[in-house]
Amino acid sequence: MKLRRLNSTGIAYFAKWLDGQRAGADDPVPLHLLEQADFSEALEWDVDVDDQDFQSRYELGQYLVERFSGCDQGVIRNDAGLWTWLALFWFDRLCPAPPDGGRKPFRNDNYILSDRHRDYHRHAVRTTWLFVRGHGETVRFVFSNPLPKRGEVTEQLTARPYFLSCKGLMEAANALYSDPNRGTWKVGTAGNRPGSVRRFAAVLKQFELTYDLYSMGQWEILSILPPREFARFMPPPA
Amino acid sequence: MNILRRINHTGRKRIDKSSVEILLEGEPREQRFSATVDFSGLDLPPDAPVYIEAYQRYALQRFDCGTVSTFSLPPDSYLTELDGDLPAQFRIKVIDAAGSEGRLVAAAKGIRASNEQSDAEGRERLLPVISRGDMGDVPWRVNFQEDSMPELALNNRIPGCIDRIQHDPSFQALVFPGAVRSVLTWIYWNDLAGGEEEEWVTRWLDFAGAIVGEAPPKTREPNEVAAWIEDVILVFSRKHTLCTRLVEQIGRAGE
Repeated sequence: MKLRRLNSTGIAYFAKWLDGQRAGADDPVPLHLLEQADFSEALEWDVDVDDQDFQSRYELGQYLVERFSGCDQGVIRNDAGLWTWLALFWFDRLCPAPPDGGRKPFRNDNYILSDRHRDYHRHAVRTTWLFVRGHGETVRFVFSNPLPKRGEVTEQLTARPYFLSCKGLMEAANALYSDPNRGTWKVGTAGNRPGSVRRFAAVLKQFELTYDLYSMGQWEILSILPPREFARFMPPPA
Repeated sequence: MNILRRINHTGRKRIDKSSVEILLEGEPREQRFSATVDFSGLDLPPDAPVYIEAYQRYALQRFDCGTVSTFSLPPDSYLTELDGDLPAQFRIKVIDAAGSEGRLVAAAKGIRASNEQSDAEGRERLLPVISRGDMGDVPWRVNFQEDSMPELALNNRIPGCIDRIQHDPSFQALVFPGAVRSVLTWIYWNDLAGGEEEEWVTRWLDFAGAIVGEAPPKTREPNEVAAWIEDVILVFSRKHTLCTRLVEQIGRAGE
């Protein structure tokens, strides 16, 4: 299908439908919004998207990086209509209906791109594209979940926009938490315990006041973490 | 009583916003910027590298500006990575050249271009106003952003919304008290008051304190904070005769 963008009417319709689902309605996904001119409009670029069975969010990100290579990245980055259209297009994969009905979507900002700074990282499709585009294989473990799952690791590493620009920080996260054998993150990464990814994000948020994280490499980042707290995850020196 | 306290133990120096001037030039989608920074009085190492970061949401563009003693923008200062339809902010970073890798020796953040959001006297506005097309049926809200001044977002379905907030007494009366309350509540809710405050927080607290003639509370105690904020709203509304002007306008419309 040709990629389009939802207009404000289309976004409002989708939001109302999501609210209805959470309230117990079971009407079908409003896929008609995708192509009807009252609810959506054509893009400046000719991009085809397919209803593929992505095995992980990372696969979805790779797919979008390839599909959007010919688009103006600066323009599409904040195009709420485009990202919301994509979430609607893949809605059955992002939020499949259980066999007994009663589909329970996450908060709307997982599907409708928010402009509130505390929420715009939640978008399931846009955030995946941003980080896979920016960091490639380094963030495979962050987006190793299947499409319907978001999870703590993604939340902690994507919530702070500045982290997206910090190559060494993402490489440090990969070195600490990625488990290539499991194809995801190490046991103990999520949660609230010492050395967890939540603590990693919190500690580096503090260090952002003191260090120029942007210019620091993986080993420089690792060297400023509290050594005892992160010892369990620390990779052997290169 | 719960006293708020935040201390800078790092030795990092704060570059005052008044020492920085950033000007945007060109049309929104082809913008570049110029910058001057006055480092005098900060006693910074002359050979410390200086960078300016322009940022908005997930976009960031970084400019190598030489050192403290040779500060200058690179020839190409076009903001090609940023969305020209959204406001840009800037950080200044001065990095330790001699000591530990990546340590900041001075910084300023949350800076807006002075020709983008200034009033008639050239002062940066406390509450920059933008119009947005994706607010559904929400008429207005205050957008809070990381590290920087909040902005008042108006639904662009409201005809002439920017002009109305500047000149329409009804619109002002119905928006401003709520907006002021939102900002002050946010400051206390997020524990931003006291200690090493963001500059925008200091400006807002100074503004609110001057209105009500009472220093902002140095406590998190909810009742005390809420009472102070309500006092600010009360005096702010009285000073600008918000309800009176709203009633007059309604009266004129009914004639």
